[in-house]
Amino acid sequence: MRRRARALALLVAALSLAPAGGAAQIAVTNLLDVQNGNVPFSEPSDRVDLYNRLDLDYRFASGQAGLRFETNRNSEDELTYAEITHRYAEWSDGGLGARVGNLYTILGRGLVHRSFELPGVVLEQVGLRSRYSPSRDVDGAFAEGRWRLGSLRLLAGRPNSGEFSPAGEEAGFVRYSGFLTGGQAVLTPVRQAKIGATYSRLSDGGSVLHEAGSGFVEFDPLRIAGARGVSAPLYLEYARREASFSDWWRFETDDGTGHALYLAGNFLWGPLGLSAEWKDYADFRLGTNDPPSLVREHAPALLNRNTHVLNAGLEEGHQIEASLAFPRWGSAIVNWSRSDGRFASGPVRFEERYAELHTPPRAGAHWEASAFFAEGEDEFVGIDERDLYGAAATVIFAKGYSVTLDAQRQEATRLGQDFDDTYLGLTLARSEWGSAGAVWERTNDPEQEDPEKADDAAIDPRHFFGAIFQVRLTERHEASLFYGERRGGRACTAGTCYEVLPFKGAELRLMTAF
Amino acid sequence: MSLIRLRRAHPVARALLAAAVLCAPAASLGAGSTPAPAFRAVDEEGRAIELAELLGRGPVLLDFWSTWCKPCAIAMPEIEAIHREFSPKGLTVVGISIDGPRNHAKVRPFVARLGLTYPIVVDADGSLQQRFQVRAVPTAVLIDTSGVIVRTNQGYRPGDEDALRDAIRALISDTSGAAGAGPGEPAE
Repeated sequence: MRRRARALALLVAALSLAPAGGAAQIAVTNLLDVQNGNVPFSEPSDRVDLYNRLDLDYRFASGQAGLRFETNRNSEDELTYAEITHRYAEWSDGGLGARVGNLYTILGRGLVHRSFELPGVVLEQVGLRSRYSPSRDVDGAFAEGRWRLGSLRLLAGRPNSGEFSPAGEEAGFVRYSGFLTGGQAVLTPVRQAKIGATYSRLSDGGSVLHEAGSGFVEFDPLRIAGARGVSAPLYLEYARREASFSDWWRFETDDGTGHALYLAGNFLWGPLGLSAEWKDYADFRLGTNDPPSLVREHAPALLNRNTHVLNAGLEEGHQIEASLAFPRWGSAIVNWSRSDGRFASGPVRFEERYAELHTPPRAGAHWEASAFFAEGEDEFVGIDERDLYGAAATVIFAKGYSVTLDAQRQEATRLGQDFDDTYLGLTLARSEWGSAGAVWERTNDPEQEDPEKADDAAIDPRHFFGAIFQVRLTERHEASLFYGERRGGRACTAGTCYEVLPFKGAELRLMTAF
Repeated sequence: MSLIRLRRAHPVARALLAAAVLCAPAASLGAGSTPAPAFRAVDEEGRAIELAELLGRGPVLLDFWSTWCKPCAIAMPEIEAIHREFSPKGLTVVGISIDGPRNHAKVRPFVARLGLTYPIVVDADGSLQQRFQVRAVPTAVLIDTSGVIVRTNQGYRPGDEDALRDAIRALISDTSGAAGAGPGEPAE
């Protein structure tokens, strides 16, 4: 009740700030997702689940205000909720801005703090059957000032871990806990250089849960020197927790010291692009930060599902990537990532060597194709060895019509046991209308075995088949329908990985924006 | 199977849901009239980008994308072609990368690989994505000179650029003579 009252108060305040007679309007986006089905091998198999998220934004000349209403109901009538989960009002004028309510920001490159949400993702809370939009926001206040020579950013509020559904609060999971304060000061002495410092402090009651600070520099020595056609932007950030300024200045990176060191560099010369990154994190899982993981985020389904998840508690490694464009022909990418960590049983390593070819990346082409190969290991999750390869091709065969074929395969060994995965996807699309597609997957991964056949000596392969239809109903309405069975497991979007439950049945999603 | 008991939802929930359902068909029939939220940002070359200033020169096309999005890599050469075709006529194209810190270091090599010449802004704190209610990438947002969003393309299918071109042509003919030099204007 108190949240709803505060939401209404924020909206009234925003409306009163809006200039009379000025341009102002409400923008609405709505996401409705209805499922009829369930996790495979679960009862009832025809569970109905309805999730709806409605975002209302009131925009006026110097700012906007809005709220988000979420509801999740199901045929079992368990863990349902219907409430306003976000509300905010923000104002900006010239280089100054402020926001109250649910907010998102980043300090440095996220070593000390990052609050964010995942666009278009609807998750089910692990351990509870309750769906929600994951959001790692801060419920509080934010202010920012930008000037020619620098900027200042300040925030304070209660952070949300993003792991729990609003219904989870009834089951004792607290979404917003502690009180976070932080800020960032940046100086921009020349256009291609920045120097800054960040700070965050999380407290609960009278005790400090963490206190962290960092310093960073960002500059392009070649551009500063006046070079043209070539650039080499560099970024360095070093963070410490529970340290005084004099401790921070010592630049200690031993595993017993809570620290995060991140370096990144690019070299760009015409069609050649190089990026190299280095990380060294120890005791830096703050719960409110998001340090760069230095693991490539892949689009192909099998690679995406096998993305290594960073353990900022203790991990060190690098990522080196080179890309080269061949005019009129295509482009090539090679990437080498490695992360070393330690479990109680000893050191563990993730390593991936990846290559991709893509042709032709130009406008007006009647076809495009790509192929990739990746090999490596991920001892953090018991994968001793892994080879992944695949190819995808799209052909435009009539005005606006295209067909895409996507094939991928993985051969892997987990704790001495071999298994393989095969993925095939076929999509027929018509621009402005939509698409119809089918996906088939086969796996003999022991972790995916049918529980009713678990006593068999050999692993029975499982097959997953799904049909997907996407329709652009109007310029403002899009619908998608999935029917069949899809695998669960890890999925990564916008740099963040999460667990998705398997599903068998039908799912209808309707998105509206006006 | 029991039915979903929406009637047990809170009155505020019912009212909001009803508003969304009732407004949707009506809005879909009308012309685009959603105002674009104002913003000020700095592109990867360190240049200031301010929507109000860009709109003074002509329509603006914002293309939200990311390095990990495969359809974006296919759509962006088409956006570059649109930039080259319509920039001399007053259109400003701005690419907005929604990449977080994980992929920040890959943004510039990605842009170099595709040979993009329009300005690129990295929306590191997600504020632009929030303000424009971007739920998927790629999303192209076309804004007319009065600051109204006239078209939003979410996702990309080969051929989608044709309708986008038609919409831009309609705006350019409405605002002929407003052309001026903008950031990232292509070198002919």
